Amino acid sequence: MPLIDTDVHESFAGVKDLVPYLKPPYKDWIAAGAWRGFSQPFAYTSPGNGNRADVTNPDGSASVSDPALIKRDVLDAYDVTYALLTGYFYPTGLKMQYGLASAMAAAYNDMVAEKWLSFDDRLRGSIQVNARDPEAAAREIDRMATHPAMVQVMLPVVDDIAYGHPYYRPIFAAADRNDLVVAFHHTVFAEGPYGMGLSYMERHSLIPLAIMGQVISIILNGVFDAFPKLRFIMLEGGFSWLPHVMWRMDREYRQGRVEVPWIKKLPSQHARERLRLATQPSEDISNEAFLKVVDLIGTDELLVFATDYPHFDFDDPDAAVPKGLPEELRQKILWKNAASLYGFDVPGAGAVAEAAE
Amino acid sequence: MSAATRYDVCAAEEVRVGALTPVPFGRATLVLTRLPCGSLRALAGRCPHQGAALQFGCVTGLMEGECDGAIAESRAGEVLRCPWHGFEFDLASGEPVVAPPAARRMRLRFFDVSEEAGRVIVSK
Repeated sequence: MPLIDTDVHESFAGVKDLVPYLKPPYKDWIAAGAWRGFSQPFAYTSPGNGNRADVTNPDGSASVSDPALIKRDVLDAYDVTYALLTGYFYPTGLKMQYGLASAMAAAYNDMVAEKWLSFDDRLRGSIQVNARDPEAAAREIDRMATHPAMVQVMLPVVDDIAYGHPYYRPIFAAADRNDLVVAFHHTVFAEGPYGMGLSYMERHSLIPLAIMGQVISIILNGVFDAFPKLRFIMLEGGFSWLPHVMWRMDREYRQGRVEVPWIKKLPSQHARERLRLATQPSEDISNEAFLKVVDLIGTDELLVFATDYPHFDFDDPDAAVPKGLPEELRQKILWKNAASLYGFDVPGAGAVAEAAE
Repeated sequence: MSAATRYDVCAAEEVRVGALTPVPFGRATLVLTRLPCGSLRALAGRCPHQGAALQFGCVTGLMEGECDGAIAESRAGEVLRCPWHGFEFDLASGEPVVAPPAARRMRLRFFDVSEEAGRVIVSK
């Protein structure tokens, strides 16, 4: 069976790896150690310090900087058809110095193109941006969209202004005109409604709430209506909460549509048509519970598979999606829905892999 | 088929565009309003969603807009909003402005109504 992994984290050994790709004056800043990169404001508690403990980097960083490791552990180990590189270096996390952040996003993209996308033709890329400067982000999207393996824009979950705010609209416009998917992924600075919690376990349990906030923000602020062809994927936020969010948004829409009449469809309809959720991290629910959730979501075309390699909460393609699910549903989750989302040509798959309109 | 019974419920001048006029109707209450074209509407007094007394709702228009912040009203006097949840109903058709939840019917119940010699006559 083909397999599409929608969330694989490539990285670098350290921010100085960006120096060859950076423009002045930032090249000299980073080369001189003016900034040492992001550091999460908490400690990891898993045996591999945030990574799978069987995936080791020389510097112990929580993402792999060696393409050969991803080839060995993901592409070859599971005979992956396509893997989406999603990064975990998100310049949007810089709350000031937007010029530096935008320059680092561009440098990172050039590094990914040179070091990763050319390494294996099963890899596909995410365009990193500094979302805090939306016009600069849009220019970066236009620049990188010319690369044939760049298939989406990555928006890291921020802790202040959610992505439905009109401020970010140039980013969505750029993704739309370049026919790219827009992906969202949590960050080390993403927060739940009452902050990050007091333990890693609490912080990790709150991540779906941060993702829910982004889903609600982009649908109820009209991003789906402003860009009727644009498609969205939420990574590492789980999926079993979606029925509630759809029901709640629909109820609110019936009550309060008068305030936002530019939203033309029921929020649940927008979600079913153009929102996709990655299943990772799986919640070890039974076949029966899984099928009930899919039934409540109302479509079997919304879920896509992800491993989150190399992070500790990795989902094994052979174990994470319940074996007892109907074969057609397993195929849709493991590859068909992602092939449709990204318009991937899957050998032997025929018309099913055509991009959804 | 037996002929409908006709009920004289109020004076025609009591039913105005943009207003809701409750009238007793057996043990229930009917709500009357007049569309801007002059036609009368007589509807069951309880909201088809959760039963709120529609006489406390409001008559408004249809809010439309194509982009953030630009809201325009059309069809003034042709939309009823429930006094509890604010659900919108089209007074011309009786249909909810937003599609109802799955497996729920949520349509205003209209009664036949006419204006005769300055009186409002409801048939049932």
